[in-house]
Amino acid sequence: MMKINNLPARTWNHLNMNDTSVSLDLTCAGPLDYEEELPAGVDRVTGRGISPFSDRPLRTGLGTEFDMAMGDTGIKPSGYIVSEKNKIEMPVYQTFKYDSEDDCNVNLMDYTIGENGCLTVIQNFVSEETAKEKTAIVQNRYTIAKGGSLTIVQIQALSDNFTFFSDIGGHIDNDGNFKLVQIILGGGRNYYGSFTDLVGKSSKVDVDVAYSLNRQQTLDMNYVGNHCGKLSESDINVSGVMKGEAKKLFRGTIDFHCGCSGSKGAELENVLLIDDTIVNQTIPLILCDEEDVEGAHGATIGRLDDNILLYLNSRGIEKSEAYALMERAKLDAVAGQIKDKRTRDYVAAKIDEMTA
Amino acid sequence: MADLLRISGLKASVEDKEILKGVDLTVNDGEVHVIMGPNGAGKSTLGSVIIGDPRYEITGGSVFFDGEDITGEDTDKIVKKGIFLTFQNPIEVPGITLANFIKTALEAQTGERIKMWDFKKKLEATMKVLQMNPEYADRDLNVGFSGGEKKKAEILQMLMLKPKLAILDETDSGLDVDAVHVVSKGVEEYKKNVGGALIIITHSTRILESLKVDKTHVLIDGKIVTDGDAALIDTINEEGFERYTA
Repeated sequence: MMKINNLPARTWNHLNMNDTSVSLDLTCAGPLDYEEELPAGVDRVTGRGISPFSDRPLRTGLGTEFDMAMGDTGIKPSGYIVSEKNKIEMPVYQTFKYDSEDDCNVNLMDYTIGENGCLTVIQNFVSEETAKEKTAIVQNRYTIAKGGSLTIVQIQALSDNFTFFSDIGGHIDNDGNFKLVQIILGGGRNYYGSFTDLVGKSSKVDVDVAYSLNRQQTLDMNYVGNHCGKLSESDINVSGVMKGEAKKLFRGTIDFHCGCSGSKGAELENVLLIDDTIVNQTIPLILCDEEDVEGAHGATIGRLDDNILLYLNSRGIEKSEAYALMERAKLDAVAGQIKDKRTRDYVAAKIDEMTA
Repeated sequence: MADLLRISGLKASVEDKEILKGVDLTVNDGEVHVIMGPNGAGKSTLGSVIIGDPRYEITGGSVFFDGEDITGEDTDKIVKKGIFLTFQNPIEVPGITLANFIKTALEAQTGERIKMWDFKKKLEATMKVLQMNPEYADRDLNVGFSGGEKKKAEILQMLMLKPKLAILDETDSGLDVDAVHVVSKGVEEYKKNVGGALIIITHSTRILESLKVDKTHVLIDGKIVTDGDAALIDTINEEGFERYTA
């Protein structure tokens, strides 16, 4: 058993939120041959494409044990390098179609963004509805040099037969920024983690996650904004809808280390609960070793407000439609963060399919 | 003219407090009725109870609409039959645009998908009548709207949904003269193009200036205490409600 999504500061054991134990058989794991559209200006290399600018260990959201297990698979990472001042306008499109007979696919991706370089990566995870039981793992690691910018957009619409792991982590230098947008529409058992090491002064991370869970789907999350640089900023927004017998555990941590004066961090969770049979757990955490910082967290968790429901009913919209409207609104709000129109349209169509 | 709405001996309570104490009211097709009364008389409650607001418990009487007993039915089912209530304080709904909301309501009413292009054209034309900035269509429903824009958005929904009966609950309250004029124009448009009936709950008469009022009712302490024609409005304006409360 492996422990993943470890909370940076442990809480009561009986809450079962400190970490999650998973059993992962990686003996037959191999990479999926994904489809890619690579714009000009991005250097593609095989092997660890990360060039750390500091000697700090690079951590990921799912945690050290998981990261080591990925290294032990011997699977060669796909590296992407954007040289300094190279602002790539077109996104890298990566489509992961899990239609092979493999039991477990592992893809390791490394991104190195040079000074003032800029890149957007759009990852789309799909499968047939009838796909067999399998495990899909994607790890994205990055370093963003001074003034650089990396955006990763993940859209996951796998069948319920999938166990899906998305592990993300990286370093950001002065004035660099990382944006993560995740739309989670599928997968039976989902594990998501992102650890952003805000090393540089005025480095910034924005995380926007939307999910819709139904049936017996599970989602286990761990997002960390690790503030080390002065004036660094983190913003974590997670929004979702839970139905059926779905289970969700959200861990969100803003960790202010000594020396990160003037930094700001905020995390906000918004969950719409539709059925009584769901299990919803949340642990927002702000850790503070520095006095001159601003940290905030908030959560709106509950059913549809009675006044809103009445207003929608008063226009002929029945309860189930009202909930579908609100579900769509939550997903749309995060999908709206995606700048690429082609991807936005794709997500809109997927959401249409799901909420129809 | 046939009965459109027939309310008989309607009693309703909220948290064991009786608000409506036996209201009788009949509205025929296409008629314009005005309900006046002091604060706390139960005017807004009457509108809410007609559309089946679950916060109120109906303790007696009945409501028939278009020949059908709608007493105690669910709100969405009642309004689909052709009743529309404007809210005094329209609710803000983050995440749902005004246009998407109206389109969804129209689709709920007709049970059919509406073509986006036709809908947009109709929506833009109607917004123009109400002098609404077309950008409001893509804004979250009532979020950050001024008081006037919220009321216009209510009238916009009424014009798009074309109900057989519209109940305007103090739609003119808190509006400046220009906004009242625009809202009145919207109500006129409803009468002209839809030809539906209206129940106007109001304290003031500005919204009534361009309408032909068929009947006026005075509601005091949960009961209609007197009825009359349009002339009763002037009487109330001059004398107040004192003679009915004694």
